Amino acid sequence: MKAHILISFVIICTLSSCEKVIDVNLNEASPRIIVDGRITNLDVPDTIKLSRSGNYFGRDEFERIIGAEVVVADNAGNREVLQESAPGRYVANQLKGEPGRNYHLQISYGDETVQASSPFPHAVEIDSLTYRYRSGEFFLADGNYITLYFVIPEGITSYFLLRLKSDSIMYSFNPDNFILFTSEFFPDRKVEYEINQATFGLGQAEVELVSLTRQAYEFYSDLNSIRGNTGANPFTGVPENPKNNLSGGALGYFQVQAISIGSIVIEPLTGLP
Amino acid sequence: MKKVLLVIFLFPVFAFAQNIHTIKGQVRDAEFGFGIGGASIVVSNTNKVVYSDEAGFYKMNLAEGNYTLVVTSLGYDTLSKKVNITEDTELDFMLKEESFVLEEVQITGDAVNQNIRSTEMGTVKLDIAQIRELPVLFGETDILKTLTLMPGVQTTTDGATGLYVRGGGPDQNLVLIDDAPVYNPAHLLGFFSVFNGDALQDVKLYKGGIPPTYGGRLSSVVDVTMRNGNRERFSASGGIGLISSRLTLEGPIVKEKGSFLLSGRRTYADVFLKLSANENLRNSTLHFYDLNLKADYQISEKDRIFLSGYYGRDVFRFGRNFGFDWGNAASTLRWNHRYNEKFVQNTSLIFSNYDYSFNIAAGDFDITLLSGIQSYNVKSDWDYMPNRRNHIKFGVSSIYHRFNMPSFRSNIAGLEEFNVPSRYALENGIYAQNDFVLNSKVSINYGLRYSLFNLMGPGDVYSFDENRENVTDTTTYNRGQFYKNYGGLEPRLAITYIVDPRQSVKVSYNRMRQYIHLLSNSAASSPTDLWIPAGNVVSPQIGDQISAGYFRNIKEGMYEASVEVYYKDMQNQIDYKNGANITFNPTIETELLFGRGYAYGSEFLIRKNKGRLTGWIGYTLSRSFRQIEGINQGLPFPARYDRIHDVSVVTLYKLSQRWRMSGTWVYATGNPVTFPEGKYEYEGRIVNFYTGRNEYRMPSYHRMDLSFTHDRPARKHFQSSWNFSVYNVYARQNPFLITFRDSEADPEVKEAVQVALFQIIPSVTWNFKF
Repeated sequence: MKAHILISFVIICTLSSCEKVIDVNLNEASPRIIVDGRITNLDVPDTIKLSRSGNYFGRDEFERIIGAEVVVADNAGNREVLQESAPGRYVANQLKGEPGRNYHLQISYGDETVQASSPFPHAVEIDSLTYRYRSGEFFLADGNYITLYFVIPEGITSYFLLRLKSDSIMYSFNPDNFILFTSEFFPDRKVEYEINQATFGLGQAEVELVSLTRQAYEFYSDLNSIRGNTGANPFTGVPENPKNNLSGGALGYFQVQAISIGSIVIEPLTGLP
Repeated sequence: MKKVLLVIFLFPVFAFAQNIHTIKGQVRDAEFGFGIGGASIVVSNTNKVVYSDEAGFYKMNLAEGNYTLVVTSLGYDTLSKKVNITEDTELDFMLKEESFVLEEVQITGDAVNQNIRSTEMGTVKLDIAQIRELPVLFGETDILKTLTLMPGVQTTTDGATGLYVRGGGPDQNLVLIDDAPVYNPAHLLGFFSVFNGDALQDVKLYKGGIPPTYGGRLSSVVDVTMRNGNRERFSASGGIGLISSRLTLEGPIVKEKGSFLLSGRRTYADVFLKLSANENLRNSTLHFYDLNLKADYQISEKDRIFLSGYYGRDVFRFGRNFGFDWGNAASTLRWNHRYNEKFVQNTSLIFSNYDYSFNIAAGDFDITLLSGIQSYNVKSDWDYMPNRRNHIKFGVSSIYHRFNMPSFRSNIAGLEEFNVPSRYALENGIYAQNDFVLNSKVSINYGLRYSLFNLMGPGDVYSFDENRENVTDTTTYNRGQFYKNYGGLEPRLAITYIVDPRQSVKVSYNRMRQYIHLLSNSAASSPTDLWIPAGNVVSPQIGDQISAGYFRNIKEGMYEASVEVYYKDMQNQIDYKNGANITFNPTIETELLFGRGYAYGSEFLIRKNKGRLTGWIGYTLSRSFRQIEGINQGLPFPARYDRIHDVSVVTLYKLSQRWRMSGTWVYATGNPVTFPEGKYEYEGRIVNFYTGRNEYRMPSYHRMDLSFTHDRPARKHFQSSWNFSVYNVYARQNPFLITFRDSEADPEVKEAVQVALFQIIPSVTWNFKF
């Protein structure tokens, strides 16, 4: 609870607390295979990146897994061996995400194998985008806000991730957080969703509406919650690795995503003196 | 249920053909006239000891003859009286407050060898007078903190008052003030407890062998008794300290018939905020206050009524934009009726409430979040002593709970109100027990409690799919309609085998059932932790504990030693999914994980009760584990309050006629924590990964506190004393939290940072009484 942290912060400030850097001996967990990749419906080739986890106190440089055999197949008889286009980057040139299919990933590297499978999620298309300038509102930064229009399917819950792209974007919250929502947020099938997590400056803005499986949605949501939670803090819960769809103790996720992209150009306000 | 005339016949009295007479009366404070509860009356040359009830009344049977009666109570001079019993006699004892010329400060309020003979085990009784002597944070006497100095009882972190008893969680303690439950016994996020020492008589903690009179929590019972007011004359007492002041007023309602006591405490920690350079901090408020009321009145020879009340609140405001306040209310109206000398009934009406509210105001906007729990309890307890070998208690209780789930209010158009629907339940209990003296060697306390929990409407009840992720069905129930019942037996048993008058062996077993749960996904207690009832998804917790102990007195009770071992099994324990939202969620069941827990340990205690130096050393060796599906790959992991070693040393030393000194030292294995063991990159973000739950330990915790008390010479009725105390004398930096952050030197590398809360904290308090 935010308030809680705030109060404890006040207490800490008041009571001449003491902060110091300490040595914590962490076990060096044996490095795990990290799968960071997706199969989508987009026309560009999809990639799957393979790397190793690193030491917690090490630098943010991770060993790439070179020369693995990466195969993706669907349940319609398509199968592709991915080509390594750069160290640790495996590219699917033919295989595409199609509604109604199931996808299977198989990675072989030395004597390690990782398997995963995921259905193609129910795809939702962006109908259109609009934007408006808002200012002086409660808990909202002044700026241009984009509204997304789309129709959610009836009878099932859809899960979404939003990716925003613009040269001048300002996030209201931690920009590393994944923006997630479900169709349960909306009472009607026709949705008008104003993205209040970010404001956009002038120029081209692009919104990716990513439809997810429920499991993938929870994976992203777990990532959000554990990323803000490190160490031993009596005011937070205990983090647990996000559940994924990978076998063999691998981390990351094999994503199969239905993506719809919309774009809009934000123009200077008119009518102002 | 209180120790109404707790008479313990330990050895069968020789059944000579003598005339038996009843001696009864009251033990009273000589100066103020109020009844002194828990005073022991020892009949010399016999094995007979009786205790006064909480209003000071006692009763015993004696054969004709000459006796010396020795009356003792903590904080009073011992009184000896020679009596010649030839007929039924009424005899009052007036005890004088302990004069400090006395050589010894008595630590225990109990009579000699009481610890050996009673069937109670796993029990700690502390008298408020001895609690007051101990050094504490900011000089605030705190019974819950003092309890953590006993083996088997611990707290999580610096300052916190959440009690963890024998590997159980903080919501598994039934905390009662005069029979009324206190749902959140912490002030200021746990830095202080809600119990104002001035208004209290004593506290009793049951860690094991919990008698059937109590039910509803798995781990322990903390039974706090408020003190009765002065029956003779009006008086006042109080104290002025660094961060708080206290005032107690008491006096007779009708002389010798009834009394009242009104006690208040207010902290002013926020005055320090005024010194801050930050304007928001200067305009902030951070304080709490407490009010205690107790009144008793003797309606007739056989009837007395007691009224107890507690009300306390914490208030926190940050600038003008943010407000947060929370508090408890508890009250009890009790009618005590004596049918005859052997049969007593207590009937109580009890109300308890806990709530918090959270307010954010910015510009024209105003948002409030409210939540809490309320309960109404009616109960009756009977106490029957048909003969010297049996002491029977039985009773019934019914509690109506209202769980006020979070509700949201604002003046924002379209978001005016949103409520997570309240939940309602009835919790019923019926019990009977007997404290039975089989022979001179063996006493047995056996009993049975049956509890029944009924969930009732109005409300929507959700059914979930197999993985408890989606609501599959919603059923709506009307007001008062029962939709789910839980119930079961709770057997309790305690056996004492007296080896000889100086040593005994005891074993006990108890089963407890707990129908309400406190959801809290943080280790420190939070005012926003949420009480929920068991329901169609959440099952009641069931706890079984077996324990055994060896008790021994050395040198005529100068020293008292005990060893106890226990094993505890806990079913239907709750844990949380990652980032669980427990504050604002109508389908909170989707955020929970369930499993079992088990704990075991041994507790060693040696106490010195007499002499200039008194005190105790306690040591606990214990483990506590949880096994929850969905956490740690389903394997057992150390509970977050698993603590292997726990040592406390408590000493009280009388330096001179006017100066007393006390010191405590505690040592504990650091709490288990989960640290990342590696990191990886996913979609351009750096993510930590974990291998096992609670595999690491915080650095070990240790701390020494000292306190000096100086009694000023008394002038007529006016007494005063100064208390100087130092918390954390050698400035140990005990980590409150450890976090990881990007190193300042190289942002791509992490470093661990520890935050310690309290280094040396001196405080001074002036106490008075007139």
